[in-house]
Amino acid sequence: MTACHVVAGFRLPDTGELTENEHAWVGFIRAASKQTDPAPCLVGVQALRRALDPG
Amino acid sequence: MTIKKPHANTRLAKFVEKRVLELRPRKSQIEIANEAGYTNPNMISMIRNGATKLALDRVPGLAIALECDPKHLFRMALEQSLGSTASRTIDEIFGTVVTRNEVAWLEEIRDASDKSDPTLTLRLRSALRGVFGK
Repeated sequence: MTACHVVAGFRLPDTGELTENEHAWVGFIRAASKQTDPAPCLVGVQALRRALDPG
Repeated sequence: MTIKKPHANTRLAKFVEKRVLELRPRKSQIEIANEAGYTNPNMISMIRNGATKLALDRVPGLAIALECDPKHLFRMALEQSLGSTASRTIDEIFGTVVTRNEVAWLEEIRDASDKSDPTLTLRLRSALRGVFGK
């Protein structure tokens, strides 16, 4: 079995099961974005990286 | 006689409305209906204005026509068909369906945290709330 599969022309990683924390992240993103399913944007990723940076 | 629109306030109807408007410069509603496999082009109007719901077996075709994530559309179609409580129960039993964009977010989180599975702290919440404008 390959690690990736193709859906409608897009290559998706095999995410497997989500951890409890990741489940919480998904729930938070849905609520904060009002269920609009936003794609990661540059501003968002930069904010995330800054917030996750231990330094 | 007023036409009944029982699904007018559903997330799916609003989403289809938004996508049809976004695609309008390069794709007509008739083209969307054809691409989605509807013989009656009025079906898209009826879904948009909530006169009819989206049948679950139409989700893959309509997702291609609307150029959106089929998982996101399917979640909204389930909610429209069964209601949000039943939809949440399905999530609880079968697991949350993660969309392509959510997978992308999770990959960013994994990458930015060196795969340390970070807890969603207050600091992280407020950082992301700012991004989503909430």
